Amino acid sequence: MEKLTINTVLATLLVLVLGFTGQVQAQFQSDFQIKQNFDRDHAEVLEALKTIRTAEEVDEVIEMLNEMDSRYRDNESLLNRVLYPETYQRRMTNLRELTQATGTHIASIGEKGDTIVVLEERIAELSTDATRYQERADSLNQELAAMRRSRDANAAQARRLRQELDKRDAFIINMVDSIFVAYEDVDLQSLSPAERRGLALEIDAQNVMGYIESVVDNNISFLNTHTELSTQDFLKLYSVQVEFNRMWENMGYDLAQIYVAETRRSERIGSIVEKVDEWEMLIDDAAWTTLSDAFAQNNIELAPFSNSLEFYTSLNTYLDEALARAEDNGSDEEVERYQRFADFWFGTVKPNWQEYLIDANLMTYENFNTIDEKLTEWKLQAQPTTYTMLILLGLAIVLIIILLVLWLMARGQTSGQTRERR
Amino acid sequence: MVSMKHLRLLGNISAAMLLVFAVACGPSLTLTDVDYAQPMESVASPDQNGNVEDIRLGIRFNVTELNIKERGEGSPLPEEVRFIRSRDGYYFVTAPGYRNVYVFEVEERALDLEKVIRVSEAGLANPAFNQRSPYIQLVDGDVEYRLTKDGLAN
Repeated sequence: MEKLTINTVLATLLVLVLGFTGQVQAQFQSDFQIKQNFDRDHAEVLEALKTIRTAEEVDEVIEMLNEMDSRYRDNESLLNRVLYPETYQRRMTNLRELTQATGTHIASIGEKGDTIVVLEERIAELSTDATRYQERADSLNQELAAMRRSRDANAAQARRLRQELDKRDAFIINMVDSIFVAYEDVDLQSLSPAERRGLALEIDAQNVMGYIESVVDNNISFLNTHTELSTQDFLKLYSVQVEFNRMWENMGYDLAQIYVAETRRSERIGSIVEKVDEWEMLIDDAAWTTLSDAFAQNNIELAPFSNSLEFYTSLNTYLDEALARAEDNGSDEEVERYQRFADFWFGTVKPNWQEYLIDANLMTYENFNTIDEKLTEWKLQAQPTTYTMLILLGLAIVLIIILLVLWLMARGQTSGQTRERR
Repeated sequence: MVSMKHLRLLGNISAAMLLVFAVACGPSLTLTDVDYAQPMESVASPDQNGNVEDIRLGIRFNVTELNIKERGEGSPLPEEVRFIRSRDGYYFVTAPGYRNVYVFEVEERALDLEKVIRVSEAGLANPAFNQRSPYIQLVDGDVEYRLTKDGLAN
């Protein structure tokens, strides 16, 4: 009991002494120092806001602001005067709003982070497959080089090789599409350069752009080596190029933002763009030349064309001229012309090429329908006027004359009877 | 015969006329109840010439003569000078190590010494002024002084 009493007394004295000291210190605090301390605390909060990365750190800053508020609220009048034209409340409100905005941003980044985790897993999975395809592509490229040297190289081998490369190209385009779809939700523009670099560190940076470039390289190499492919093969390659172009235009720059350092970015993008243009030029030349040749080989003389619009115009002009000719004079020769075109159109173009022409945006379903309708019309007009038709026409005229004579005779008889009655 | 009483009356009338003349020639408007109180003291380091300045308040003066008065000829300038203007418009100036607070009245492009207030025999360790109208509070550690242009207030 005695000990408790002594402790109580000591504690009371301590509280009194501390309270007194605090009171004295509070009483004699320098206004200048208060302002200095406020500026320092304000700067500390701003600095913290620049570096915080987690929701917990946001809570810590909010706690700092609460402490600041309790520390300086009693000096609000002084601070209002020395902060003029700002006020203490405005400063504190600004800090709270900044903290809230930072918290919202961090929460948003967190959501993006979840997306990115899923994306990273997907990319890890895809990267394994990509490596496998890359190895396969390397061996195919060696084979390609060997074929280039060999006189025995033939279209069949080239086609087999092309099929293998097609699988890889399709895989790469799908892979990059997957990345793009995931990153579409991330909104790259909202990320700071540091955050973008952070993302890039998690992903095999070199491979993504490397894979993209290898698709272009392989296609250029293939097109330079093989000119003996069929029209169907070239149209198929054209649709691959169009699909790649779509992918590259949609996301090439965004991917480069993540996977390529800023200093090398424009150079890297420029290099790929240059190759994509070369690829487009090669396939464009090859596809239109082979398509033109194919029509010519089937004795269908279309006006020259070197792009999709010219090709469609050329087809229409050919058919319109044929229709005009057939309307004037249907003949066996016209039927034969029609048949030649129809055989080629329905036997080769539509079953073998239509899919790729549409995939490559070279023609549309509507274009094909228009051509089909004109062909139907041509078929009708092309038929020659036969002797049977002439005989039938003559019989019809004779029949009409007979009926007319009978009608006139019947009418004459009826008129005679009427006069007799009168 | 002009008596003393008449002379006094004549003198008073002359004085009144002079006063009226003086008033007519001087300012015709006086704004009263002006509060010059600076909300917070200024803390400035003298440059090599002894000039101190508060850009925000727009005041600059030289403390070399003041330092000589406080510490004697050849003494180094203090690292910082603290000053504040009272409600009445007087500047209170001191510095760490000073034993006095100097009160200056504002004149045309001059600060005229109004009063020297002795506050510490040993010299102030860490002085700071606070505006506590109608006083100027000087704190130095745990010690507080209440100052007016006339000296220490009770």
